[in-house]
Amino acid sequence: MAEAKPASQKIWLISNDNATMEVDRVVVERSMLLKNMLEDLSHTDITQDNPIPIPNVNEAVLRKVVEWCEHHRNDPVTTPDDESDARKKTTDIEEWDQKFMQVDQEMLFEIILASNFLDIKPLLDVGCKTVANMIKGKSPEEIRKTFNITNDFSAEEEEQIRRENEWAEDR
Amino acid sequence: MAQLTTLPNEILHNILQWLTPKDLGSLPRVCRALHSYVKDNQKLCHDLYLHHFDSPPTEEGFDWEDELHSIVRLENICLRETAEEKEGELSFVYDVVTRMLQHASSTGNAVEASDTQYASRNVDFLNSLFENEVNREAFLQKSSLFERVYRSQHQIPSKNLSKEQRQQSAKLHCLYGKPVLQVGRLRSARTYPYACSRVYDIRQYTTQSRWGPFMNDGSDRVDWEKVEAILIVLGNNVYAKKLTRLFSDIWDNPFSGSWKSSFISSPSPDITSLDAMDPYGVTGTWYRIVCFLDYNDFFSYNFTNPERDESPLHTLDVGEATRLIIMRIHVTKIEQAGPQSEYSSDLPIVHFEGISRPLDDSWDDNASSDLRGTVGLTKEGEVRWTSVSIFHGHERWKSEGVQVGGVRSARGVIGNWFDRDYDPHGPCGPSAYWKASDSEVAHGTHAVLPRNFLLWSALLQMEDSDDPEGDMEYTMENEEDDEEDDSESEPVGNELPELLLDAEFEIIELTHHIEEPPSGA
Amino acid sequence: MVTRMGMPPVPNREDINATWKYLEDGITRIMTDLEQGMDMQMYMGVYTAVHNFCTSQKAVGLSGPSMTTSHRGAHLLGEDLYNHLIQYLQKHLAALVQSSKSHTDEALLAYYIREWNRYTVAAKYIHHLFQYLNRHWVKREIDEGKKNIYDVYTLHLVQWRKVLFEQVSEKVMDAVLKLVEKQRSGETIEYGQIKQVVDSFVSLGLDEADPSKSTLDVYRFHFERPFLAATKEFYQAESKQFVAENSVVEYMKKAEMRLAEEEERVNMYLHGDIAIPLKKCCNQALIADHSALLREEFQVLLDNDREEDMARMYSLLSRIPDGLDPLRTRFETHVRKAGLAAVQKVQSSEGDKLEPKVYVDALLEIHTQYQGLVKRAFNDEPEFTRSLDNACREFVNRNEVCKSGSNKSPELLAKYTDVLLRKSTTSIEEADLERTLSQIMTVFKYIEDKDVFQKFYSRMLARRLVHSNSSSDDAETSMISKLKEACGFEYTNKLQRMFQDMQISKDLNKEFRDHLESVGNAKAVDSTFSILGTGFWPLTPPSTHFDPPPEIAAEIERFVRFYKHKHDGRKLTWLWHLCKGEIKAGYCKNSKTPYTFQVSIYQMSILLLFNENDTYSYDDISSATQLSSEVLDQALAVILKAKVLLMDGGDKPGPGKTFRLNYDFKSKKIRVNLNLGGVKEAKQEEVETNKTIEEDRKLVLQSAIVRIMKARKKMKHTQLVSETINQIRSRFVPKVGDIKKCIEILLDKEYLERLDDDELGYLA
Repeated sequence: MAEAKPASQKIWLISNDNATMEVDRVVVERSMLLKNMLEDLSHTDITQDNPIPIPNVNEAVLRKVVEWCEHHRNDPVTTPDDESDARKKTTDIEEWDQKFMQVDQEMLFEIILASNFLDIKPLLDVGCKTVANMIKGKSPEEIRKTFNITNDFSAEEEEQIRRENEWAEDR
Repeated sequence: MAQLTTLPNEILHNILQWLTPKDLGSLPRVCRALHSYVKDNQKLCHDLYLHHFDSPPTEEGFDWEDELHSIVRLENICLRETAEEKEGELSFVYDVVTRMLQHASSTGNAVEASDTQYASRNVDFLNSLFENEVNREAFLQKSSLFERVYRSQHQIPSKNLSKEQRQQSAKLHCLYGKPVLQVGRLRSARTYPYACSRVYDIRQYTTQSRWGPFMNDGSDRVDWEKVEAILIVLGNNVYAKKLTRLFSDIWDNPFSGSWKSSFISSPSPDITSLDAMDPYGVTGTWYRIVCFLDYNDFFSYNFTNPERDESPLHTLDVGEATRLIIMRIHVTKIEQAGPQSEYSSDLPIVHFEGISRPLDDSWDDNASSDLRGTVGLTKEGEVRWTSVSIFHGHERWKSEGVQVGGVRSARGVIGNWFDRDYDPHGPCGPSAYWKASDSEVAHGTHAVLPRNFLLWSALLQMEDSDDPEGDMEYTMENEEDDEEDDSESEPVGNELPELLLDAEFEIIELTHHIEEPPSGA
Repeated sequence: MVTRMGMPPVPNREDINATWKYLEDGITRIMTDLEQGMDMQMYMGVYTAVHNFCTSQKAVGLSGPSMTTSHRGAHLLGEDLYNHLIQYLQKHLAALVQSSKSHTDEALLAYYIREWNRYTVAAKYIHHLFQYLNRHWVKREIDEGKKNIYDVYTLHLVQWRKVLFEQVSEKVMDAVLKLVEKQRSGETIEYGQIKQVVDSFVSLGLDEADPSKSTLDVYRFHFERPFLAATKEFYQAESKQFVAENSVVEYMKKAEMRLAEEEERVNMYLHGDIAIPLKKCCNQALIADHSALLREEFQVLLDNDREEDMARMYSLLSRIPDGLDPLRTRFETHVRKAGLAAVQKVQSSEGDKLEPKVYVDALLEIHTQYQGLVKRAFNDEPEFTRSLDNACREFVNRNEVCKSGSNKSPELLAKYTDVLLRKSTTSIEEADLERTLSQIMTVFKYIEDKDVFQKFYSRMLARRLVHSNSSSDDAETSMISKLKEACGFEYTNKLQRMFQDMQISKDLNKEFRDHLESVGNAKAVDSTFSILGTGFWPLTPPSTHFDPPPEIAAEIERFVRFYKHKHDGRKLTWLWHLCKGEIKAGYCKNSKTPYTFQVSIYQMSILLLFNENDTYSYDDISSATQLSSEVLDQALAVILKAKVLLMDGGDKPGPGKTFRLNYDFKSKKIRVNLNLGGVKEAKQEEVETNKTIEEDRKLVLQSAIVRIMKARKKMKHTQLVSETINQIRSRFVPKVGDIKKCIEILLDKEYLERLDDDELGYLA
């Protein structure tokens, strides 16, 4: 039923701001959403004039995501079994990905949201680890500053919460 | 615009699971959203815990959040500057450390340079805390033995510790497993003479304590201060004989193997039904080390002193003999402990038989015997081993010991030996054994030798001097020196081929430095 | 966001009702109208709506977090969606149930399959479209151990089972069974439908403990169970009617066909899991229920040699447990009766003159016939072979002929072997001989008293060797090695030694001849000697005195000297009664060429006397030869009968009679054989042999008892008896009475002693 899919088969995507881009099918298939879709709609012709709509992602973010997928086009696919084994998880981020993630915070969150939407688990993890590293070891105030969060506690609340979390302080 | 606090929960969870336990204390204080997210989030604590620590043997009733909080507090305490600032937390530290060892489980890999120990992330974590000498000083050196050492240095202990706390510190020291042989840098601050004065004091061996490392009150509770003294005496000899090169995983790797089921079991395919029912993993080959005094020394130490009161005997530092032995034992009977039994009925009582043979040479009759013994759980929940050596059908030496870390721990059993008829004139001494393999059968001579055995023999020969103690002092001075010593041994490794050839023939000569076996028994 | 091709806009992410409305439209199209195809916009739209809904409501959670209200915490969104989906599926399936009611039988089947296929294809799509729900909310619920939460595809199956399957599966199954019954009644059916129903039922088996695994429980309960019940009912009814209207043989053919059909049915459209229970069910209905009838027929088939039908019956009954045992019993009885009848037939036609060959052939014929039957009809099955063996053993050892003497079978068999191996005018081809000897062994295998055979065989072998009238050395060796193979070295040891003795004697005679030549001795008589080892040969020295005639005595003297020189210390005993020779008679008036008389040495010594005188009195002869009167009379009788000598007065030789040479002797042949043993002699030998058998048996029993007691030291009497029987059985079947007698003898001889409690002890 499924036709032969040469690795070089081209797929066109269109972002929610109407930018069309041409991508190799293997690269697109890093997204589990698009991989399933290509299989489910195998009879649909995808052309430059009939691209796959990516509703939640704008051009800039989509290009970034495609860039990541290009770089990781040959990575082995992780199985759910590997994932459930917490011990195999490492907080390390490989060097290329670290560089890749050196973007402004807005873009970082957009990449995370896009990879979550498109179901690209490895990219989602890299993004989340990057954010985690920005939190690690910081005081509440430093975290607020980093992420531009307003302290919305009342004074009493703040005192109450400080007490709640005394265990983490060494006094 | 996307913001940390506006991310969907599933993404937030993904981010926060990568944090450290400590970060869980800061996050809720950032804003209401994060507070509400983190508070009582067991799933987050669960995932975060498993990212850093071993999966506990049972998840039932495991409070992930509470455990993380304790661990963070432990970490914080260990970060304090001085020992004085830490000491007061001994009981808490004891509590968390022992709990973490109870919750340890295998990562699936072996400890580096070991065939018998599983690696554990809990152990790695504890190890990182106790790398700090101040932490060792604050928590591992609070038993009465150390108090004697400090007093001899005219240092007044900062606090008056309860008997219970001294036990806790001694037990922590035993779980740590790598004996502290020196306090500070002075030769006179060695712990060994004080440990000897306890181990070779025949008054410590009483009916109430079953002549073993138990409390002198018939309760069968382990007297960890006794175990600690034995550990130090054996450790001193292990280092002097450079046995750490053979058994670094046992004698030189903190906390390693001091937890349940840390022994890497690989039962042979022809496992018997008895072996299958044995919870302790008795059947197999075990290494054993036994030390003893020249009986003249032993006698004069115990019986020529006119004033024999309750106080500890003076320090003893005359040198001992050490035997490295192979035991091959197998289960012969398994029974349930009855209501009248001295053992707990939580686990069965396992009986074993076998043989013991010297590893270093064959002339010592005392090392070569038949064995019989028993393993069971004390009412307190510790694993108690009893063994008897049999020469030509007659029982002669007996030993009592506890398995440090619990059932099937790789660290093995530490205890003491004494006359089978409880002779009030001794002799007695320390002994330890730990498992080498699940196979009781020897496959050729070499398979029973620990890895590096020949290298060890060769080194011992090279570095052999008239004064083995002098040799020891360098090895023990401090950690930096230790490392230097290791790096110095590298070139030796390159010279090995010739030495290796000789080594096998030289072993017998080497062991002639050891005194004759005790004659008074 | 730009919408294309009339695709409705994805609804507001926080509005569950709008979202659900949107999703419902999409799902409905997938459920009912997938044939129309689905475009990317719709696919992406539905996925996005699910995603948006699950990632929404953030603002709600954050808008007014109060420190005191129950916190939203780490709660994931999706439950509403999940529940809506369940409601939708339930409604959809309820409608399907409703419209299923307008269909029955094959139409219902078609309907079920069509809807099942449509539903599961849709489920795969919806599973993918709801993947965001699966990935997060469903996964979290399952991780946290919530029961009855499934991924979206599995949820579809669960709902199908709950809503539709519960209500229609029975009717679907009825339709399936009707269709199968049609096929069983010979109609062609569209069985692909059944196969799809099977697949559907199998898919619905979810392991409640672990939804990622499947079980066959649903299929087994809803398909296998009714299928097997219907099968049983069908075949019970069919076979009952068929048996009433047809012969048993016809029925067996029918059953065989039905069984093959059912096996094929599993391959065609059933699940492999049913193979074994279905086979069991058919075996019960088609075979076990009629096994009594079949067995009754077996005797008829046996009586009429209906091999093919017996083979059929065997293969049918072998399918049910313990089905063959009664056949084997009947077969054994039948073969035994056939064997006994065959023996009775030859016995009554031949009477006392029963030829060994006729007897043995009669035994063999029965064996061959039924061995063939076992091979061809009973699959050469070891159990049937055992029944055959039991039957043969019975009729070989206990039949009409054996009534006259239990040793008759081994005796006749040995005699037949002698006939075969003896030189005769009618000797058979070597290949045939070998084959016949093999057949002898077949019968030999069944002989219980193997010692009797041995006794007769060795006597006859001795005779063949001594008289050198064996037909071929090869045949003799072949037979001995066959016996050795059957009974072991000890059994044939003596036979082999006899054979060797003859070989050694040949060489010895040549040496003797060479020796005589070398010392230049004139050749007086042409002599041949056989040295037979005492103990190996079943021969006894003659009972009579005998002085050999001087002509021969000289030769004997020479040989004895030669032999003693060669083997110092050996004692030679002359078996005169076995010696024979030839003499030439040149005195006869009526013949130019001299007659040659073949004579025993006794006769020779008598006749040689007449070289001196023409007349001798009985007493003269008696004193010259020293023969006892019995032997002398017998030797003379043949000579007188041939008229070589003539006797004066009376018809029996005895004291006072005189004998003279008959110069007018006439004979048609130049060679006249006077060395004839009478019939009486043969009979006597037979009696003697039988007597020695009894004697030997006593010794064998005694030595066995002593051997056992020596090993055990102490034993109960009954135990000793049974142990003795065990040890002896391969040679003969001892009688308990004989064993007891032997024990008494050993007690008397003080080999054994009586102890307390019926125990016997061994006395060294």
